[in-house]
Amino acid sequence: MLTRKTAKVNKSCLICLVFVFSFFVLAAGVSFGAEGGSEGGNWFSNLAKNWGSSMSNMFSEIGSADAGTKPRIKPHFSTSTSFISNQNFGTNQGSAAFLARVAPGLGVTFPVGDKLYTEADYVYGLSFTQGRKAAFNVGTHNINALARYDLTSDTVLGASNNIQWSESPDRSGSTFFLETATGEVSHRFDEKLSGRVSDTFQHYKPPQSGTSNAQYDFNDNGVATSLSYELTEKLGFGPSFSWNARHFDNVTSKEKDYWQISPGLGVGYQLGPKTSLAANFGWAYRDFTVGKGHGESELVWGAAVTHLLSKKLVWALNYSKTLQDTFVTDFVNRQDNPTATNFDNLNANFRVVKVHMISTTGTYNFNEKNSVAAFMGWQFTEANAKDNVLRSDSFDRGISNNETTMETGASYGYRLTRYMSVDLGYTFGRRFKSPNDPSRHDYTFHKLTGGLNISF
Amino acid sequence: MRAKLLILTMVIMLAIMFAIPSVSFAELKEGTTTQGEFALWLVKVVGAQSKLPPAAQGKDAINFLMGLGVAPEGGWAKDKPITKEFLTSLLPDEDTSKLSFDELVSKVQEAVKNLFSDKKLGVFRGTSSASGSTPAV
Repeated sequence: MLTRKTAKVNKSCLICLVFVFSFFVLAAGVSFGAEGGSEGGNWFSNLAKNWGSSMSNMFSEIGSADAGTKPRIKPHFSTSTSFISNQNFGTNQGSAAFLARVAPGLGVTFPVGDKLYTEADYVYGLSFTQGRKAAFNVGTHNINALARYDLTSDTVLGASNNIQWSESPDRSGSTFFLETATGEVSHRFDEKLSGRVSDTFQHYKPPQSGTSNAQYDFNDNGVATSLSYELTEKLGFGPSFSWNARHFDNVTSKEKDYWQISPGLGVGYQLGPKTSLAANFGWAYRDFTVGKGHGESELVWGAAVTHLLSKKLVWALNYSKTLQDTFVTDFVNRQDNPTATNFDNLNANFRVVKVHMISTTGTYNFNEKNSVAAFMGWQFTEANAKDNVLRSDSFDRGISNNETTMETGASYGYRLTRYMSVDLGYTFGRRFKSPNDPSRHDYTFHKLTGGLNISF
Repeated sequence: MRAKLLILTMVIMLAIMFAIPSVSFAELKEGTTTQGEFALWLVKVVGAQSKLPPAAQGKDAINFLMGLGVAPEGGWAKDKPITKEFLTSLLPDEDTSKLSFDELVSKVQEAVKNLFSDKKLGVFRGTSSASGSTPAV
């Protein structure tokens, strides 16, 4: 037994040594390259004298000549305190609570030469909620990793992976796990024509103790490809095509298994130097494994305008109609996942929700230290009775549900130093009463937030 | 068995690292580096690389910077080279006539870093994809 343990320890040590060695060699090689090693000389004789300086440079200030090309370790930290008038999004405002969050993190960027760039970032978040009707702490882990390799000046290979691994607020000690991995190749065929193809894999595992949610374990795999042709310097367009399939592990939730195809066309137009316009139009066909004849066939589209009113004021307007999936998860702190908002609290009783969303944002940068931003968004969702898989005995006897949700707010940011900033924000949100589904009641909330961010 | 696989992976990684020409070094050069390359570099150094597609091209970086309100006089042209005039036009109105090329690059880097905020970007989901993977509660 002891021998086995010793062997395991030895192997672990060996692995660590290989790791450390490769790290040092890499750092030394990059440093050597940066200091003109390409002109000749003994590569190995330069290793020893260069790796030390390279390692010390990892924490030092990066100048414009070497930013993005040298290894670097970037610690960061953020903390925020909020007051929310309606912590559990109830119909009445009887659940006010204070929220606090600390989130230390560490990022590592590791370029190798001018072709390979890698970075990884880890954030641990600890959130505290204290109110009259709620008191709990939640720990979250968020890991991002990215690698890109410039195969040629026209071809880029890229891969990214995001892992969210977090406790759920209402189930102490139980965690959900969400992983999204993407591999992508982009290529410029000539000055006008470029294209890309990507594969995205997603795996979700809900909190184990929540048996009612166990049916929502799923894997999703999707391939997307697009071409872009620049007809003129200002006008570009191109077709796109995507395919994806989603499979839920639990047999009782087969109603949500599907495959989908979506061909589309995108257009981008540069209306003067300060305004960019973009639009997309396409068709999405979703075929569910159970409930044949109930496939979803929808037109999808979107439009966006970004306008720089001056060097200090940028304004954007977005509209989109999309098909959204629904699966149960608990995003314990939405700052860990910037792509999720309260708007994403869709009705999980439906296997597909049609979403119309319009939003606008404006940012005014007074100077390099002060900025204010405002935003407003409205979301209109439609879910058909035939897609209500949890509340009906058969697909034709469910109830439909339409909802309207809005959020608006403003924030002020002040940069104290190069590495430190504070911000103050207010958000008002409302979901209007759903005519058909009493479980999706209306709510209103006000939220005040103040925070400190440190990033090197 | 797992340990052997790990060691093998490490050795392969090492071999790749040696094989990659770490001696090459991409510097920003006036009149040579294109605006698209500069935009990609800028996104990388302000720590926003993960906001772009993994295999992003210059155009993706330019679109991202436009969203932050970063645009030169006359607009972006991804295949045109960067110049001192181009860099000056990315900065707020101030006297930059005495600054060198490198100093201007640093100024632009600093200005964009000030504009980039994860929190502001996270206000709304901006997807227009038909195959959304949106969570629900």
